[in-house]
Amino acid sequence: MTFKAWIRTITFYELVVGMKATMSHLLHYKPITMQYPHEKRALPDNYRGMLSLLRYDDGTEKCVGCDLCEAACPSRVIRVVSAEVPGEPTKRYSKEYYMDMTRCLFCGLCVDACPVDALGMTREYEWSVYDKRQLHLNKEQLLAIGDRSFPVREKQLELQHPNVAFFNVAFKHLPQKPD
Amino acid sequence: MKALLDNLKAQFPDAILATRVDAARAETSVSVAAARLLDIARYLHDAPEAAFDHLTDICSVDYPEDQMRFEVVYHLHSLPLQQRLRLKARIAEEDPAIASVTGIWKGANFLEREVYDMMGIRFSGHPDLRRILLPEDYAEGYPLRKDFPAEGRGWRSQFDFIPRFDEAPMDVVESEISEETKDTFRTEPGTPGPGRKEELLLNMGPQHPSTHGVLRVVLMLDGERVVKATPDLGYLHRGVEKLAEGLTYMQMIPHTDRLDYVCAMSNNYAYVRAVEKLLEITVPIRAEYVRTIVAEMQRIIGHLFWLGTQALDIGAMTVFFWTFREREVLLDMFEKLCGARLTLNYYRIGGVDSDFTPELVQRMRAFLDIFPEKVKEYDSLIASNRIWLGRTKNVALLSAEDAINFGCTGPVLRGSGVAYDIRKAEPYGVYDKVEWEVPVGKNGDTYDRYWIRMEEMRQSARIIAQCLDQLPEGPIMAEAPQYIPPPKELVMRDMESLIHHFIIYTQGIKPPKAETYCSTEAPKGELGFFIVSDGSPRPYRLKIRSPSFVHMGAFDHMARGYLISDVITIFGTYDVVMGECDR
Ligand code: SF4
Ligand code: SF4
Repeated sequence: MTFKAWIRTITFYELVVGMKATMSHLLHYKPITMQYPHEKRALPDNYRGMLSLLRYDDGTEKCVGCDLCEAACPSRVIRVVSAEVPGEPTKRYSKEYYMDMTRCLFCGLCVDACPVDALGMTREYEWSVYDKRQLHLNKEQLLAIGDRSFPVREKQLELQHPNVAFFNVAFKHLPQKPD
Repeated sequence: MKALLDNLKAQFPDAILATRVDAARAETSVSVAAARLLDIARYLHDAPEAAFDHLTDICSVDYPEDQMRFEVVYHLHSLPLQQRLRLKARIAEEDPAIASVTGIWKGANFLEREVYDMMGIRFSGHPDLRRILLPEDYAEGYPLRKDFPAEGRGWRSQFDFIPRFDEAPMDVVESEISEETKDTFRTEPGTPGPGRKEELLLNMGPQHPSTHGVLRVVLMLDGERVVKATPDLGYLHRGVEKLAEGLTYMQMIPHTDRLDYVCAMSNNYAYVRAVEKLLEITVPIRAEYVRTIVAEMQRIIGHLFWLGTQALDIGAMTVFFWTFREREVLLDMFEKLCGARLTLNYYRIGGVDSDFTPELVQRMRAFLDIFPEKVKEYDSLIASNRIWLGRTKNVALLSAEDAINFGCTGPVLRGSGVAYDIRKAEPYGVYDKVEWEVPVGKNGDTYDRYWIRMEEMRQSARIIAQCLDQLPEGPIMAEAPQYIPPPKELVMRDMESLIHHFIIYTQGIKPPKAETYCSTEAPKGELGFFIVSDGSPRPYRLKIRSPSFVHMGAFDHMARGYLISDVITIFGTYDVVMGECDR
């Protein structure tokens, strides 16, 4: 052992260096943690949180009941019952739409799959409940989540691209959200 | 490679049944007669022109229609000659058995147990052939056989072994563990046992705070010294490989997130690379850059997580808080990039999900400016601290021969002085376009592995900085309409895109009938995916070669002779994540 090393050993040099690093943090004390329920983080727009169903600006549901989301979902969260729009045989909509959120992976594949962008992932994440059955959501609940999370709505698809008008649905059986 | 095949045919004229060279995927496979497997394996291991010293993986595939129903697949790798070989042997359905190769590669021990567990193939000559992932008394059969339904055998509530609230508790008949069970955890007769009269079997885990998941180890002790350590795996087994057989190729990506949940990006990357190799897609150059950047960010995150937890296990609290502080910055960037922090699902077959925006480039640069300083800060806390040195120097020594023989990869192998890194040896992404070095240890102890991971973080930062400088413009998804969904904007405007979109999402993509193995350097070691495709939209068999599982095979070897407190260090030094180990 060299003399230098020996001095370092008996003076606990490396501990002093370590303590210096710790102490310097004590001086520039800036907390990086958050008092969670009282303070909340700002989440980015593309945050993959709770799923929701969306509407067009006139209140029509976007979903055309095509079942692609159900096919794309890796954990069989979604169940769609699709039906014809009464009186308009070329248009379809989802009569019933269920999501079992207890199984969702929040992967976003259903959102990627939806051809008309009827699904959206919101920034909601505080969805813990006491009863698991409350996480089995139906269409009204999912639309309600969409209404509160996406206040700015898109125009009807047929107005955007006239050549695809016949894919679209116009079914206004649900009450419009008061603005 | 050709010379080797000719040599093999000359040596074993009756045993080599077929050879297949897949030029497009640069893979060679050899079918051999099961009866001669051991001789061939020994030749491949010993002969200098073959030198297959590294057993990457053993898995099995079930073909119920064939006369010889089971196929055992060995993935061999030669570190000195840098070549890979796939060895396949077929065995019949009744009483399936094949010779064990544990005498040649010690790493085969756990891999063969897994095959036995999942497929019911016995390995004659195996020292300890028990179930490994499933419970020992599992009586439902062998889950990876094709006659086992992919959706399982019913719902949890129907299984009678799970106690239910409305039933009276069962009487415990026998509370003592039988001598027979204890015997599996004792040292083999002939090896020097405890010097003391009284033996002690200590059960560590499954709920121990420093087992990084749910892992149980039964320790046979002599005083405080470990005489034998028997890991008991499978507490986190979810059957991902079976699950994959029921999912389309795209649906599997979010499930790979949950393998090594600390480094989800690396799993995504390994998986999509394997599928791309199967489909023979090339990825646009910008996507390659983004993939490399993100994979290296993930490596930094993985190593920060490892450093924090290992230091915490050993007793240094501060490091843990500091590493998590930096990890948080990177996770925030991931969140901005793909909307999630841990289960990222960012890589796509043929590219990536979203672009690396200029804002992220800027944030990344800002992070890289401060990061080397932070690494120095961690070093100042522990690198020369006498407690840290005492707990890591000369603890869990692993010689280079043993590390290779056990099939170790990643920092564990490099810590023992073997300069093998898949990013250098078989470059993918843009690793061959940037400058970086592979840190290599000398002694193969815990301290060297610590040093390597610290150095790798610096190298990763270097790689990212160069990638950011070179980042070209361009698309982030490849164009292959039959395999890759068209861009979303086109779906409702262009009839053809709409059709492809519907077909890909409803039926899945149909790769050619082929099989491929593709390995990626994950933060923990070589993460490989072996995919057998029968041309249908779902993988016929998907095998995950997870580094943690293979490393656990060397656990007993590494723990023998050390103290109980060092067992914790050894868990930490592997950087095991049980989600990946148990799959
Ligand atoms: S986010 Fe993923 S798991 Fe959840 S419903 Fe959509 S596709 Fe299914
Ligand atoms: S949500 Fe989208 S994908 Fe699902 S049924 Fe409706 S339109 Fe089709």
